[in-house]
Amino acid sequence: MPDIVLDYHRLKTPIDHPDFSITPLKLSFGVWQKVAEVDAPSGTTAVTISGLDGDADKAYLIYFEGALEGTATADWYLVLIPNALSLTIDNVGYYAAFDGITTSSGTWRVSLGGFMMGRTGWYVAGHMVCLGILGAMTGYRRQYIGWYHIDSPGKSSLAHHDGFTGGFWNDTTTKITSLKIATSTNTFSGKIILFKVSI
Amino acid sequence: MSNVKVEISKDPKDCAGQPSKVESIEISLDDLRKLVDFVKQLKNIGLDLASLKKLIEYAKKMGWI
Repeated sequence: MPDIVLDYHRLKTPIDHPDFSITPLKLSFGVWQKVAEVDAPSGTTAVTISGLDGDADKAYLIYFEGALEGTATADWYLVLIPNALSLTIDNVGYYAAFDGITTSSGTWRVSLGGFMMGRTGWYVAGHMVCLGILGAMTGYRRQYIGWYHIDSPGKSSLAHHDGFTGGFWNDTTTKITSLKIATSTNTFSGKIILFKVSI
Repeated sequence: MSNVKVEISKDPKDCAGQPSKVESIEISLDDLRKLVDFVKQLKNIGLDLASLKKLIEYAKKMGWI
């Protein structure tokens, strides 16, 4: 038999701080921290979240679930715009689609007034989920990568498509202080949740 | 976080604007040659552009080009 037996189940860690409370700040150290949660009503054209600091926050994670609403003779897009600026951003990506009968896939490239978060297909409205990350620090071209999936019931009850999207803002000096989420045309509704990298 | 403000707009002027470039489709050189041959065969039919586009899409769907 050993001289000393340590029973780890009986060890108790002393609490050496008088503040026992669990706060969001303590829990959020080194993780994504929620900055804003917005429920945009039907008919929304833009949601602007201001009071940001791209250098301090380092990167943003943006989640959207909701509807791209309306009708059009061309597809329309959900777009992320730093500082609500008038920009031309080149977006490229891959897509995979099923129109209810056949599948298709390929690449696309489109210039928009911001980073492409998601888009319609076959010129019809749909319910979409998308998630993306924006590198926010000055000193770099700010770049966005994201994914989306949307159904297209106006095309077919079975129609849907998804894709990967990425683009860059060719600006290394302008600090991001706000983010605007807008449709290229028509309207949207749904939930937007914005996270930042906490300290 | 306390300084963050949210504004929701329903004003059409707050839209991001229509795409300034039409989406592109990648096509291989071999497929491009087939496409050109296909269009050459149609040159005397007198189709308008929209009809020609539909015909090309149909031909691609059928695997002809």
